[in-house]
Amino acid sequence: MMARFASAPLACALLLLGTSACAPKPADFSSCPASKPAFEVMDSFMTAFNAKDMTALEKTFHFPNMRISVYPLHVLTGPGQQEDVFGILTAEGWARSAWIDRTIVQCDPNKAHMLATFARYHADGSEYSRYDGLYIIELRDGFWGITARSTFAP
Amino acid sequence: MNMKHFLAGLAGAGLLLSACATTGAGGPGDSEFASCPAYAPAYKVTDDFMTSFNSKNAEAWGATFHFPSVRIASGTVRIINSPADLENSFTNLAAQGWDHSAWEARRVVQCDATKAHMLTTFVRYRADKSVLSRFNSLYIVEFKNGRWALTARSSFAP
Repeated sequence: MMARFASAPLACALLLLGTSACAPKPADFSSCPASKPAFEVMDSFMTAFNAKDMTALEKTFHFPNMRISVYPLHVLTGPGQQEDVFGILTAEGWARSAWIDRTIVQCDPNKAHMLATFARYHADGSEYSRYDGLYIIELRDGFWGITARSTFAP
Repeated sequence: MNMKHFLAGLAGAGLLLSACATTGAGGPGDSEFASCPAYAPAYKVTDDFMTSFNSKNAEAWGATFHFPSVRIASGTVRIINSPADLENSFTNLAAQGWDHSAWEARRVVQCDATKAHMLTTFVRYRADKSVLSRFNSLYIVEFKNGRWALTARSSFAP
């Protein structure tokens, strides 16, 4: 009988181990070949965006490039075709943006799908909006770039 | 320590681990988005997408798209402007032995009133129902121009 009770904690521990392993967990893509390049491209995107440097920003793009936010979809076939993004944002009091969260959700050696949340800040450092977005980052034509982004920003 | 009970506990945990390794798509669910307005439309659009795709009818399949629509796959970006642009999809796949496809997993990962981002896994089957291939992909479903439809998809198919 004592042996039966002695084995109970062990059985519970094993049960917990089993159920914990069954709990849904996000996949870990940290070792995927596209993971590091995807984060680097997104870092470069944000740095160029905050520098209001459209040339540098568009160097993080593959063309054709799509920002999926308007209807009908506008396909950028080359640099210099975007609206005045920085002017529009400045008019709403924007000074800079930052990534709040970035998570790769699908990945292979040549492509990553990344979910991101970004925040927009006023010049005084106060945050005034926050949006989710999806970024498609690929190795194509010899470099890693953003092929498409789809955000929930208006 | 009673070896019999130890082994029984070990076997039980093993069974649990084995069961979870063979069920589901291996990712978290999307119940947190169930009340999002785009959630049900995203499943409906992708249901209709798959049904019409398997009917090999480009006009019916095209009814599930916003045009232009984008397919990002195979290292290229394809802009699809009308159902006519979809016609050759069926013959290209049939040449590989494809007969029909099915969703293996779908999960909404971002969602609001007019848009959903959905991760999927789809399987291609031969006519004898054997698996030809299986790929992950993502679908962007939006409410635009008065209807829910697919704006873009990006897959890991070669």
